[in-house]
Amino acid sequence: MNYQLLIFAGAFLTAWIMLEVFFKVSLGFANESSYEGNDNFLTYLRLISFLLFISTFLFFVVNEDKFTNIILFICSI
Amino acid sequence: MNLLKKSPYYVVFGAAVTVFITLGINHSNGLFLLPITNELNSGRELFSLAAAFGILFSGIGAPFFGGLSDKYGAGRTIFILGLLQIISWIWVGNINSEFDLFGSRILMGIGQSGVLGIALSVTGRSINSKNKSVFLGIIMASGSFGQFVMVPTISYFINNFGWVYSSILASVLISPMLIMSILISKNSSSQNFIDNDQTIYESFKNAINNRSYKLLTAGFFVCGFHVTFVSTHLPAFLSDNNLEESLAGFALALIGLFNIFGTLSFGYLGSKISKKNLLSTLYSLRSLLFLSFIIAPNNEFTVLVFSATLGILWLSTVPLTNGIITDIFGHKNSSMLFGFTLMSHHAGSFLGSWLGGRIFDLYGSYSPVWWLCVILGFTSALIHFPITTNVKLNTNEYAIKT
Repeated sequence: MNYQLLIFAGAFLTAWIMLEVFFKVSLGFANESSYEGNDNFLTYLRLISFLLFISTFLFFVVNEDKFTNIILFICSI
Repeated sequence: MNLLKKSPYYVVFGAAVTVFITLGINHSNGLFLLPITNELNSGRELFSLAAAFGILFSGIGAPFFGGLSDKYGAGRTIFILGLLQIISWIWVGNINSEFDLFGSRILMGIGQSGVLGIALSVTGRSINSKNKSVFLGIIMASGSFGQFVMVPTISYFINNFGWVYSSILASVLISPMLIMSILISKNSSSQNFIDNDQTIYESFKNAINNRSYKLLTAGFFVCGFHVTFVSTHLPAFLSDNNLEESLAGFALALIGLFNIFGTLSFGYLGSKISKKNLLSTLYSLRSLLFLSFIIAPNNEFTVLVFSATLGILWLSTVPLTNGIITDIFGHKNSSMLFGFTLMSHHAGSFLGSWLGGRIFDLYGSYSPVWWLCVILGFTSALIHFPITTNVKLNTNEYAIKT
């Protein structure tokens, strides 16, 4: 369980870095460059992601088995 | 006295809550699989078939209700769809036969049809064009967030009150949609933008003669195929590769989480750079991701990184696709036109779910489907490339430049 949570956190961080790199590279192709607006957006996104990561992480710690079963039920159809 | 000043942000709020409820409740359907099959003493295939019919009718109903929304208003249409969903969930609570199962699922599919398209279109109409794409991303993100909240809530209800009362409670959870429909109705306006005066038929005729629309619709088919294949067959694939069952839960949670960030990011990027180039990039990245997943060894870390990265690209196509439709044809009949595009998406979903199982039964492996996902992704990227959003319509020389 702890090992999987560690991998979960590692995968989250890896994907987040990829998203941020993609986001910044893509904005390089934008005609208008509103650096302040882009930075603000990224700050809000980081904040949302941090909150959701923490809540999901805690949910897995508290209720892992139950949650996994729910997901498997959903996927069975 | 009117205490609330008319504001487009109420429309965004109403549309976001509507999508939050509809997608959230929709994803909790699977929780009723075991109790209902036990009640009817039938196999899982019957429930799956009923669910597939529900998806099919959801696709068929999308352009119809989209057209109703364009003609009579988004608020009224969402009110009707909300009522249909409520009735269908009450029907679920009274299932006694196969007819009830199929009838309730089909009615539920019809009730859910077009909600997404209408919510996106009414948001697009209400927000100024500069920020439109960002708000479309927010609407999609709210749907993804709905899955996080609604699924555990319904699960809690089933565990504590049983599936019959839970379905009635689900219908109660849908009821805020009716209030949201009034909020949307009071605040939405199509008068803020210069738009065309085409009828629904003229608009449809114009769209099917438009090369870009046909390409966009064909490309969206691939999105449905990818998404449904992965969400349906990933847990079984992981199990086949001797990975722990609990990994599927982590994987799907990461897809859901990064879907929120992805739709918001792509929505924002869509307001800054070309939407069709973004879609081409997105489908190419999906193919590269599937390719890496085929080549790389399957272990817990690679599966979770794959899931999180796929989550970024999961439903980010929706705000961009909807945005291109309104860029080309304007806002007036956009719900109906997006409904037809959504029908193509649902056809892809149906095929992704069915073909995944069929090919596995034939070859004992999902490998051919993963390769098909790669090919389809690159094909879709190529399909999106020639799309042009600088179109002059035949009927009234109405043109939008993006």
